[in-house]
Amino acid sequence: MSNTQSIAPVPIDQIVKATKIFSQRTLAPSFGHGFLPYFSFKQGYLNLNNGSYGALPKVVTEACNELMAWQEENTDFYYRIGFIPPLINVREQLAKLVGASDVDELVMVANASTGLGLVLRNFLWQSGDAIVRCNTTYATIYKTIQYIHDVTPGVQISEFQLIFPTTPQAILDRWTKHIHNVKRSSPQGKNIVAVIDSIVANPAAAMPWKEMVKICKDAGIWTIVDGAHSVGQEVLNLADCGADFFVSNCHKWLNSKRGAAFLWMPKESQKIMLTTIPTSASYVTPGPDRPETNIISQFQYNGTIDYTTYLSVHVALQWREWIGGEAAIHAYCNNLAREGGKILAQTMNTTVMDPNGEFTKAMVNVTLPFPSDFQAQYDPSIGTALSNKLLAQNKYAVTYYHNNIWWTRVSAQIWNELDDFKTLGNALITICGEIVTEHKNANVPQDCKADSFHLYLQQPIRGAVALDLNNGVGAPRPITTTKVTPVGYHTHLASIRP
Amino acid sequence: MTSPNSLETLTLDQVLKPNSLFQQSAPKFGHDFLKYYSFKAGFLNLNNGSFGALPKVVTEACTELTAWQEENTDYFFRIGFIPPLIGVREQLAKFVGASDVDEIVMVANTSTGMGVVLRNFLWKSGDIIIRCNTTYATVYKTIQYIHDTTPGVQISEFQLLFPTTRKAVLKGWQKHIDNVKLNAPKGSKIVAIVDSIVANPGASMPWKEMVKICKDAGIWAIVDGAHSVGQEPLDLKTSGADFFVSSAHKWLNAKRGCAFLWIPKKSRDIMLTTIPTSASYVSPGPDRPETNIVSQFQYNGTIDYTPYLSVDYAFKWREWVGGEAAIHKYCNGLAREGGKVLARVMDTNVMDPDGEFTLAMVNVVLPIAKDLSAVYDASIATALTNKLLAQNLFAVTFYHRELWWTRVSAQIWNDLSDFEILGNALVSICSEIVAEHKNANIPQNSKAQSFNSYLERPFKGAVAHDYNKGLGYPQPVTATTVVPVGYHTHLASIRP
Repeated sequence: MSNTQSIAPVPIDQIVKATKIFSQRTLAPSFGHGFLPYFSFKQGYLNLNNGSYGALPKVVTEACNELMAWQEENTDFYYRIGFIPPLINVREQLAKLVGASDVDELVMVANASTGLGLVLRNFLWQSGDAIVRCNTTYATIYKTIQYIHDVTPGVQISEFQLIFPTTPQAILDRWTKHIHNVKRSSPQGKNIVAVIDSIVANPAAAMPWKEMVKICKDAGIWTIVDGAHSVGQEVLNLADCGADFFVSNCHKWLNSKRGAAFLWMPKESQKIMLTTIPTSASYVTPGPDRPETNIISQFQYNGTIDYTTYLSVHVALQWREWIGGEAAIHAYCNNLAREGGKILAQTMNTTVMDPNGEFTKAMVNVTLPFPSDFQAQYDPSIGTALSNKLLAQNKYAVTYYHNNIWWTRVSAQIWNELDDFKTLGNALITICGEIVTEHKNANVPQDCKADSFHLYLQQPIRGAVALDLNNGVGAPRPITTTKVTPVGYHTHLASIRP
Repeated sequence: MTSPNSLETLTLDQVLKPNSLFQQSAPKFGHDFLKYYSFKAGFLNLNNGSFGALPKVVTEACTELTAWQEENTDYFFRIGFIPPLIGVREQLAKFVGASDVDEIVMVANTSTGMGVVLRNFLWKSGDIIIRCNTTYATVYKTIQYIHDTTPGVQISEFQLLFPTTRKAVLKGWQKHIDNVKLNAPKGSKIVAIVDSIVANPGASMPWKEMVKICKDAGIWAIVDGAHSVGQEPLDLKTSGADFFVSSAHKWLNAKRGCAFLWIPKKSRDIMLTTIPTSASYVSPGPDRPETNIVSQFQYNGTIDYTPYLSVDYAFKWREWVGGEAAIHKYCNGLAREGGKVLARVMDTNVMDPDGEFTLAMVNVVLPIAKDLSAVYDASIATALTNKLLAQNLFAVTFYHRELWWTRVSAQIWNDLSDFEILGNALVSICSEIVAEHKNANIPQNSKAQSFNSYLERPFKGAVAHDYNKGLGYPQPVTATTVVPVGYHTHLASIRP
């Protein structure tokens, strides 16, 4: 005889046991190396790059394993009933954290690229419309805009040049001018949509984004904020921010599993949103029958995915409370970034991009010790060499090219200490010295260089140099040896990752 | 001083410990396999088709893959995942008969793969998209969206009504294609979606013949093969199709969500961009003689690659349990025999008694009175789902041609007695529903002439859950109080 089974929804706290550590009043350690055992980094690995991919605390990893087990126990229950209330609960928690007015302004997506891409693709672009991006707009968004321009006749791109070092006031003055110009040259009745980074990726720079949004709103321009780095790194109050859309990754600074992000769409903005991608089964054709979009419903299910990443936000928030709470985390990381940047610059005898800290939260940018003639052109082989040599030394921080200079962007996290910046600095001195030497002897093809990183992004990658496959023996080497191999489908994007 | 670290790329065999289970011999197909899966004790899973099921050994491999990802995440995302992912694509390419690894890319699920293909076509007024009433809902609605937002794009819908025969389907399809072609504006493109195996009903189609009919008429053929890989052998290079998508997490034992998209060289020029657009996207132009879509698929936003990489271990599992041929033979045989048992117990009939459309899924009519089946009623769908789950078992139920059906999946952990159990459960469930429905106050606007016209409606006002007077957990929607749905749309009746 078949047994009965409750189909009552189950809250996450009933499913996940790993988090009982939080209620046991066990004290979390002080911020610093004492936290390393709570993460899963390989022994001796120095992680100074939380910014790109985040890091999953062990407790959240264990909770995810339990969530996966729950998913497999009765998968039909999970997908037809089970995941729904916990997912709504996560959305409610995030809505509260980021200052949204209502849970139904907030939906989950895989990552910021997906969320921003989805918004951009929902606009019904017409000839005469314009999209405003920056040279620093994150590459997937930069290229989404490029694609829209390429396939929609008459859509203009207006690119604002953001060059560091600079000051917030200088940015706002130039942004105001730029927006006025775009508005002036825009035909009547056409859409202008601006993508604004709350925190730019490369360089890492916390922008005066709310002021930039206001300038756009005053000019009747749509604002889509790429807040990929914001949640967990800075306090958000979206109800007051004035933006039309805001997207942020939970897996970067909020400790959730990769990939989980949220897309915030206040009610007015939801009118733009006709469909999820892929289109949900619940999509309904616009018409008199359907006075408003049902985009929120559509987000609930639009293809089978593993909801564990979204649900992990619940546990991530508990983790952050346990370790000290948002304010304490921000204070530690922001301070460490500032002090660490100084140490790093001192060690390498170079400079911090933002000495006054106007743009600095938990990430700091410092020039690398390369001769200036070495940096005149963007050379991706240097990008790959830097990345590979850092990894070979069991450490990582992002390196990138901006304003004809190679920089490092360092993330300060709760497992880092000031010493880490000195260690990094010494490693970079050695690495940069090696690269300068090797580069002299390498035969780097001219067609893989470009006047700027952005010109490089416009080029076909085919033929570009990425990996020297070590005479075919398969282990990638920095492309500064004399033999270089053209790239087929194996495109190594080290130099343009976040 | 930190020690130098090897940047060597690793294969999955180097990352993942070999599982000692593979040293033992596998049990026979049937209930002996239950312990190798993670189903809750007593749960009778007769619905592999919707979401698949992850064998414990693959779950363990996924845990190791996550640990590897967290050890040195920058190494993983900048170097580490690339060769293993290429390795998985090579394995899949070989498995499905693609000509080259670069014809196979990974996507999250079939809806995503189908959607990215459809969205890459540059639609113009006069273009025509052919779908069926049975096209899977997310694809059906993607086509709807394209039609709604691109002036002049036509939808041509082919009615696929079961029971039928393969011959009749092909005859009808040929006629339909001929008509579309005849009436198409000059210079327009016509794109057809062909299901290799329809979801509801579960029906294995003569899809290669349907593709040929399209190709002979100069029509693009995008095959929704969601249920194919692991349920039937594939040889895509001889299929003639322009695109093919299949979910590896359904019948191939990979982690959810994992699917592949097959883009033969002839079709590549259509594919300009991934969604989201990759950093490596380059504007078309004289500079760029061909699309770099395969490169673009490598990275286009941070995701967990574990589901894609799990395919490697899924293949090992399938070899160990007995190999593809043995798996197919068992499941197909069980579906056929099981369908007969089920029909006998419920005193109804199998949709496809000759088995022309039957692989590992079988469809049987439910014992619900005709007058209750005359109009599509979403509350019946929800009630069926909830009552099955409440009895700790599951098979899909769906509405087709004024009848309610169940679609049952036969898997290696199932045996014939499962069908008997399901049949008895459905007999009592259906009579409960008939009785409760009499007393329920189901709003007229939750009913529709057909399932598809129900799909066209705004969900606002549609009935999905009775929140038990606000006490928060869903009850079958045949209680006397019904509550309109806000954002919480329960889609039980249109899940796969």
